[in-house]
Amino acid sequence: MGIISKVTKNIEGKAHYYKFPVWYEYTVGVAGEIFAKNLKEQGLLTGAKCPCCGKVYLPPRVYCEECFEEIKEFLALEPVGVVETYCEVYEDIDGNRFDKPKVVAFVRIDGSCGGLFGFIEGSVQMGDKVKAQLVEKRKRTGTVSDVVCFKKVG
Amino acid sequence: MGLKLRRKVAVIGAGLTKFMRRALETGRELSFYAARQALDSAGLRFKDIESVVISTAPDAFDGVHMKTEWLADGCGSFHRPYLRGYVGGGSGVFALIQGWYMVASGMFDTCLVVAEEKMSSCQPHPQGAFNTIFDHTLERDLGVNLLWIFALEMNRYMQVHKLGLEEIALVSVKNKKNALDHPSAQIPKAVTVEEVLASEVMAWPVHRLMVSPTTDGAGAVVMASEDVARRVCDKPVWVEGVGWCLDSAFWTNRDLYYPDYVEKAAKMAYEMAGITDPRREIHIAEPYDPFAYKELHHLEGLGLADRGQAPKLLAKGFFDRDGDLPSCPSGGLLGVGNPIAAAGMMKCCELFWQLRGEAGKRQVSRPVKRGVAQAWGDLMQVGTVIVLGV
Amino acid sequence: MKPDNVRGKNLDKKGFEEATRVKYDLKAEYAYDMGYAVSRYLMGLKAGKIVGIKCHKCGRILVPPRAFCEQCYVPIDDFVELSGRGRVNTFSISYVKWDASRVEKPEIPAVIELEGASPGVGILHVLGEVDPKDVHVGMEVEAVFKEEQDRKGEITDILYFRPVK
Repeated sequence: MGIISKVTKNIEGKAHYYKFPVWYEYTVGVAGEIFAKNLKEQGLLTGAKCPCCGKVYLPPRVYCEECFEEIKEFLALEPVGVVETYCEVYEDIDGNRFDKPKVVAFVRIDGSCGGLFGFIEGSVQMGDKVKAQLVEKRKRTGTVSDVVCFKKVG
Repeated sequence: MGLKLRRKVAVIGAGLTKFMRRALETGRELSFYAARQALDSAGLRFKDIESVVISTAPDAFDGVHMKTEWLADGCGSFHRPYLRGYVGGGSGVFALIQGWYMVASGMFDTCLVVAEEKMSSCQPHPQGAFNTIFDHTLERDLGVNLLWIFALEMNRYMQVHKLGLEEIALVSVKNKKNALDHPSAQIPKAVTVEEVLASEVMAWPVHRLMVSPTTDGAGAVVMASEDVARRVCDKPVWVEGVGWCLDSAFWTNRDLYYPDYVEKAAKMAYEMAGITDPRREIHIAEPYDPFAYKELHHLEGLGLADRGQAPKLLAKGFFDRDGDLPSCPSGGLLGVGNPIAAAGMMKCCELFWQLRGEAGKRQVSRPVKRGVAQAWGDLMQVGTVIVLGV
Repeated sequence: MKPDNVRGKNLDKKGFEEATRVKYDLKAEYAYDMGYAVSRYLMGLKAGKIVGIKCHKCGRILVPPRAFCEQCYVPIDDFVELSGRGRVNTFSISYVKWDASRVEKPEIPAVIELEGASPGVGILHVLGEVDPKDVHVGMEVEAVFKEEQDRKGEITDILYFRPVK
């Protein structure tokens, strides 16, 4: 006899509401602070180079995931790269429609095996060379929100 | 139960980060520091690691959903099979139990076991994330907070055994003093019973100096099969018994004065280890001490003291570092810190170093060949126990 | 001495504020279904009554009621009305709130063993109309409900438990 067959009394169905009351403030970490400094002061991105295999990670980190060696060499990199893939977004996170679709791309940053996500200003195709447009220096926070968008170059 | 150990498994290396209120490092960075240190101390190369167990408690602290997947590469999981165990604070010992069965099963010869917690990301205070531990319909609306359940359990324990606050305060005195010799310790301090009792009343009978802090930190061990252990390690620390048990979430329907679930977990572990007289056969203990009374509560559950008698033995110095059965020689959660899942790991690391004679100023006076570590978690529910020996 | 070369940089409050940080407001809202047994419990609270449930196998009378006995692992639906009185099994006097802020006037959470339920079976609630100094384990208490028109079918339909005169 299953549990459902035992439900013999009528009940008023109701829902109980709850909002999780916390928010978060994440530190960016050791590697993240180096990234923040280069971005704020020089408008440059940062890669982290593994002493063992030579892979350059972007965003930077203090360890190589493949060699599990500590990374102590950080390279300042120009915020230019190549569009590896992109998509068109029509709605925001809550399902509200945009007036105009936005284009989001993953940009492989030159000199690294990593890259960043960013909005694309104007039209775009796979393989386009793009450069990051940054927030003006005095307003930078040192995080990826300093990248307003990527624009085609050349 | 009659379980026969299939394959001997040993702990062959350990690592621990600093335990801190707010780490600059991300959770991944903390995991890497601990995991790399454990790997180096085991004398193995990264490619020798065949599997990984990651232990980290509520995603709500770090604020990262599917937290283990995110921590994974910092824990050495790149392209390797990994497992996450999650029993709240019990995870730190449970992780070694999982590491044990990864290797004991014969599937893997090595397992890197990493525990991490970064509580400081949670605002306005990490304590807030614990609210969801209470029943969403029947409890949260009462304005609950985590301190309540500990205070309620502590009061019940004191009432049933007619204990005084000074007897409980001695745990804080012992552990915070022990922690002065632990390089990772967050809040080591020489305090007196009077100072403990004069500290702020948070939720009576809990005073501030009877509570462990919120902490960021990570720890790791390397576990290996007998073959590998004998080849690379000068003194492997063997897993002799494991046990775990979960009690009901209807915590208001059971008498909180005694942790049945710890007793059952300990029974499982002792049986596997062939222990019939734990008070004689266990030489050193690291029971879970998020609150001062908890260490006593758990010592009784572990069968290392009669019910209600742990405070009496504590007062006689029985559980001191130079006592007959040192308990929390590390300084415990009260002194070293409480990064939820990594706290139990810290205790296992302590046993590893003590059994190998490497604990330096914390090394206990009596000779030790066998120890027990225990962690606890969830809604006064889980007991996870491991017996290690040389 | 182990551990050696212990790593990690602690930030004090000021250091944390000065570090580069990313803020995230989590939008996590839930609408929980009550389930069969808790719905009946809440209907009871709305009517000014505390309802338990009996397991026909082990004979325990349980509260809060549940759709299955967790020890016998069988479905149950034999609801039992309880008197609304009980005894304090344990209590605390709390000056700290969920967000670690402090309050002047303490709250008194307690586990109250309810009359009519099996021994040791109780619920979490708060005590009121009592001086914290006078609270003791074993104290007889009774539920104080909100006025009928203010009850919504929630645990807070019981304002608090107060000592029986």
